[in-house]
Amino acid sequence: MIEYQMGAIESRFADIIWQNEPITSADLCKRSENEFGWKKSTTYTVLKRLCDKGIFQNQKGIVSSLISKQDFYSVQSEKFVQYTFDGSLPAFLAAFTSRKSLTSDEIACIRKLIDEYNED
Amino acid sequence: MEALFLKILNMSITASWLIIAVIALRFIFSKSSKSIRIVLWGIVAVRLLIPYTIKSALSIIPSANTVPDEIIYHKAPYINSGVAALNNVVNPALAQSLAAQPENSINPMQIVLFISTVIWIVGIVIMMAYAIISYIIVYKNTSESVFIKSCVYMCDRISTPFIFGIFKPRIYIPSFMDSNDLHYVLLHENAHLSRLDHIWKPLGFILLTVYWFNPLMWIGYILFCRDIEFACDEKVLYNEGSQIKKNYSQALLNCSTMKKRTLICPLAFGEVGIKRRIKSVLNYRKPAVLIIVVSVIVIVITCVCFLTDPYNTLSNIEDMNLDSIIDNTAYLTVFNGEVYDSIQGFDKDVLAELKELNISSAPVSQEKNENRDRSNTLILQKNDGVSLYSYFVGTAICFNSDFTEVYVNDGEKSTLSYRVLDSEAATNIFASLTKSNKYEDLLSLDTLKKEYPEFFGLDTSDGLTVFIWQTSEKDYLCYLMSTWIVTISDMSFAFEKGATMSEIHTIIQTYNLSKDDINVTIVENPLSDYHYIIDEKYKDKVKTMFWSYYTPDFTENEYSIIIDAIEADVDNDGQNEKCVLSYGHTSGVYTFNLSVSQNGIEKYHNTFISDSTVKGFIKVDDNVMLNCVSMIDGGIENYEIEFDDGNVLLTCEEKMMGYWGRQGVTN
Repeated sequence: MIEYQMGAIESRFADIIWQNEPITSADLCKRSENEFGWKKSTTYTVLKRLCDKGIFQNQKGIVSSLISKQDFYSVQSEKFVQYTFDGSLPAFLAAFTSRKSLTSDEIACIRKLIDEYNED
Repeated sequence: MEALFLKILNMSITASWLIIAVIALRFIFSKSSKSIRIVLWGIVAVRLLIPYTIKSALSIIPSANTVPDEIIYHKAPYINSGVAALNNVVNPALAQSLAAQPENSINPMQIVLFISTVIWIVGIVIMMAYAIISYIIVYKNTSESVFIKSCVYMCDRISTPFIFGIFKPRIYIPSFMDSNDLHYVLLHENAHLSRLDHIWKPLGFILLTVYWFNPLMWIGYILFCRDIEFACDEKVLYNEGSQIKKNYSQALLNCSTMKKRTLICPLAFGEVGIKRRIKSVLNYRKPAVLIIVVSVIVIVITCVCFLTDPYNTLSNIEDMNLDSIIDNTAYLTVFNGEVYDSIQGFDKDVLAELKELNISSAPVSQEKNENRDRSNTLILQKNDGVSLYSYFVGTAICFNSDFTEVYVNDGEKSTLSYRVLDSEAATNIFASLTKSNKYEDLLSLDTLKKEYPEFFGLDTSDGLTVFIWQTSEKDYLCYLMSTWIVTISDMSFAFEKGATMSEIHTIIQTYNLSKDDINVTIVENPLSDYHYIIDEKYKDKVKTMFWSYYTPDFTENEYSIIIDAIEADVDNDGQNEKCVLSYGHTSGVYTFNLSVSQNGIEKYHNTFISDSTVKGFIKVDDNVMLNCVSMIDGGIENYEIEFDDGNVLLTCEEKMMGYWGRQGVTN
């Protein structure tokens, strides 16, 4: 079971992997050090945690993802709506737009999405 | 190591009094500046760090040495907390459960002390382990952090903002925090940094590690941690002004829903009682000058009263239990070379003043021998402890000739000598108890030394000469000189300054001479208008007047230790006499005094010299005799006690014991 939770720092780390995969663990360490100032041990600790969550894998020193960034955030959004709005997308949208109204571009985009969905 | 534990224990008890005071002061000053509290805790820290401090009469600490160092040597262990009520509760229990049993080779107190020390060290180890483990955990979590700006890092794995690190402190912010609050959080954390809280808190924890066994320490530390947060809020508001109150409180509230942090752990934002913090923030006002002034005064007073140690008093000298002995004295005897019978109806309040007499806490030397100067001694007895064949029973408080040193002897053991810090008080106590002029003289000796320096330190190889002249019908003046100088010099300068007879006598007494060494010469004063005829009658009259000031015993400044005492009818007059046998001036030859009193009045007093050692009184066939052992052949000699013409005669077979020095009773 993949765990779809990541903290802000973990996300930034995950981004490095997603953007550069497949990447050697050594290279990952170097990039982490450049970006965050992390020691090797820290990088490995975080990497292991994310692997345990089922998002990435470390095979013989090569790090790659088990789920794409797009898919990951999709599922995360889904879970969020599930958890907060009982899975009701309309409810979510209503809540989302209650504080800020949609721009005309956004409305057009959504219309297009709905139309595409209807056609399938 | 046990000694160290005892010292720590005593320091913690001393600090406890201060902690209680600080808690009370905190409460009183709770409405005004909270930053004062930090200073008060600073005073507590100082008290816990310094092992020795100056002594002061202003100290409010009841006792700096509650658990005596020698407690393992006590027969019945006791503590001296400085609070009588506390002592009376603890000491009997201690004595009952932990008194040394002679059969056992180890004093139970030693075992208790040893176990306590071990437990103490184990406690320290546990505390340190906790600290180290906490540190490692936080270190691990914060290694996964990302630099934001100067000293500030963001981290996923923490739930509340805090500061970590002592030498290079960093502020860690949780990654999920609301960015609106971030600004205020940073204000707070930076205030912590500028106040150096990231150093004080660990320091406090170190003190807690050492003093962990004292519950007041924990209370103090927890309150200290809280006070740090309040003081920090105040600093932020002081710097930024009141307009940020609302937003700052909001940030506090938002961060308060975090999970609890550990004690050692760093200065977390949302850790401390939120409701009070917010109330304090909203009510904050810049402190008025008056408040600041009052605060400073309070701090200074607290320092003076609690950072100094109290003087040691005579009542807690070693483990003599003088306090209760003084209270329970029924019979009082004073030895000062002049009086040595019981003082009838002494003033208990005056005697009780002895309890408060300040003495040095360290002894003057490690000497415990019997030859120490005890010119002025008080013997305290619960009852009339003189009995047949036994030694005097009581507790002796022994002062030296000028009341600068004291030690105590209860017949079984004696203490070391301590410096008397208030000699005048001691002299006054003796003066009040005995109503003797002798002490007035002692007190005024300093004044005399200042006024007549030329009368002191004279060469007595030929004795001293006193010149006396009359200046008016009732007034006489005297001048004191070395006799050998008098024979070779002109005396005229002497008439410009003279002392009174009683003053001269006081001065002469500091010389340790006998009556025969003093030459009295009556002269005519060329400078005076008062004329008188100097003939033999006049000279005798003045000389008699002069010698009436003579205190008969000034050849023997020391009092005599009693060898033995007995109450019996020695002169067969049908009434009992009290006979006291005491040591005399030794001067290389063996001397002793024998005094016989009846109904409190001394009837006979003789000083003997002998080459036998006097052992004491002995009853042979209903006859009281003096039991002696010859120093020549070790044989036993029993001397008969007889009376003749105001003197005591001691005869053994054909021998009669010789007299030496002072004979006869004083008036």
